[in-house]
Amino acid sequence: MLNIFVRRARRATAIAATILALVGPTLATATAEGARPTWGALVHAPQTDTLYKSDGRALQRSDDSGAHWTDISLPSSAKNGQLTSLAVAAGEQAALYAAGPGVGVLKSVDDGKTWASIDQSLPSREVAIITAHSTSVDTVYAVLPGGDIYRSEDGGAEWRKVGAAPEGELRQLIHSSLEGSMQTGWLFAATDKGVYRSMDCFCGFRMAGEPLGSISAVIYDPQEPMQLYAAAGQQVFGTGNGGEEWQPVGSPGGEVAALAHSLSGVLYALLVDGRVVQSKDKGGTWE
Amino acid sequence: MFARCAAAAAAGIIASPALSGSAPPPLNPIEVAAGRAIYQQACASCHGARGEGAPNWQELNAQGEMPAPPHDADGHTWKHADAMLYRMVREGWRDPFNKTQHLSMPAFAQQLSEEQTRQVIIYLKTLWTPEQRQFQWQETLARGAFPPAGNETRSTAVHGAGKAEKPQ
Repeated sequence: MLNIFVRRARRATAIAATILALVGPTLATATAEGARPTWGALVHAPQTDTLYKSDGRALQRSDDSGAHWTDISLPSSAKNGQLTSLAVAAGEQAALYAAGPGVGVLKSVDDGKTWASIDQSLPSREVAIITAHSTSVDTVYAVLPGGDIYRSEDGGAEWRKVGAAPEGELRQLIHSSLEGSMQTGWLFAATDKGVYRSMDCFCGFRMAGEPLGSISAVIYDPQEPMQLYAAAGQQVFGTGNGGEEWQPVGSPGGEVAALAHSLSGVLYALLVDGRVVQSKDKGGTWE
Repeated sequence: MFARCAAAAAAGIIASPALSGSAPPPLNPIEVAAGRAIYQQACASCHGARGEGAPNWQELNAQGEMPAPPHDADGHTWKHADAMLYRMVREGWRDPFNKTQHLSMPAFAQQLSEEQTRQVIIYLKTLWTPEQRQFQWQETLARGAFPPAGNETRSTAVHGAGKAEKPQ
């Protein structure tokens, strides 16, 4: 039965990709080898129940689950770059990280009022992805377009290469507090080949379950880390066993660019048209 | 100062004034030789005589288990701090996504003494590149060295992330 669902979802993804190709390149233009498309980014700050989103250019915040959005100013140095990735650190300070090709890595500890560039010790400002450790306040990961993964354990002051992304085009990387790691948690990667999983010691990425096709986003439930969601086209898949088996759970009604999950159990999806929709029943229905 | 020397001794290294510096300290050749002999007797049958690992070690085998990985430069042993490696050898390991429930890496706490455990890990360090040794030394500084001799419980009694002593 699962295979039937997966085949249907793959077909839907292929159709969606064809439609995108016909509509035009603006939604799916990769910026560099290994970089994610400029569809945008979405992240939830559990400390303040705030959503942050980006369409690749502007950064906005919402304090009412996406009903209203407020612009956040970025430094002029980021104006010519592409904002492709957002992360919020654990801890009371809720440090906000923003990254992308040409942007480098920016950090704000005052809800985006001021920013600091923290990519000085990275080999390049062409940063494709930024993600924060699920529990360690000062640990953050940056992925460069070639797939090299760097880790900082002091909030971005120093970076060290710790591993490489899985094969394929990496779209998103998240850190999960899922138990059973040799170190402190797990990394899940959304790629054009499926979802990959690795312990955060970077002992090697392996495909998590069956190949789901081209995945644009992956997220986990922080209250229930074995529960993850992945988006392929308009389809959202769910797993209750850490990625061993995936089932289609529903569609948010549009191509999914990014996913986020709140502590209170709300699953959010940023669609490529800029809308943010939410599901309170594990992706079954969306509003 | 005493704590620094004790930690260095526990790590099986020759005492160095630059313990917190950037370069990993040299290995004690006596410890290396002892560790090599222990490795051949206790580890080589699964991890290979030269630390090359089991065939197809990156994929689940027919039993649904991750095979024994290499310990040489092609593996990932060098990515772990001394405290974690020590705990793995003493307590064993099971990949949580294995299809079986037993420890695919057996626990050697009953077969190897604390000293032998340290020695075999010290030998593994001779299989790594200088860059890998550097990385592993930094991980050890950040996440923990071997537990002090005779005080194993300080690192191995706590499950989860390594809780061992850090080099001072």
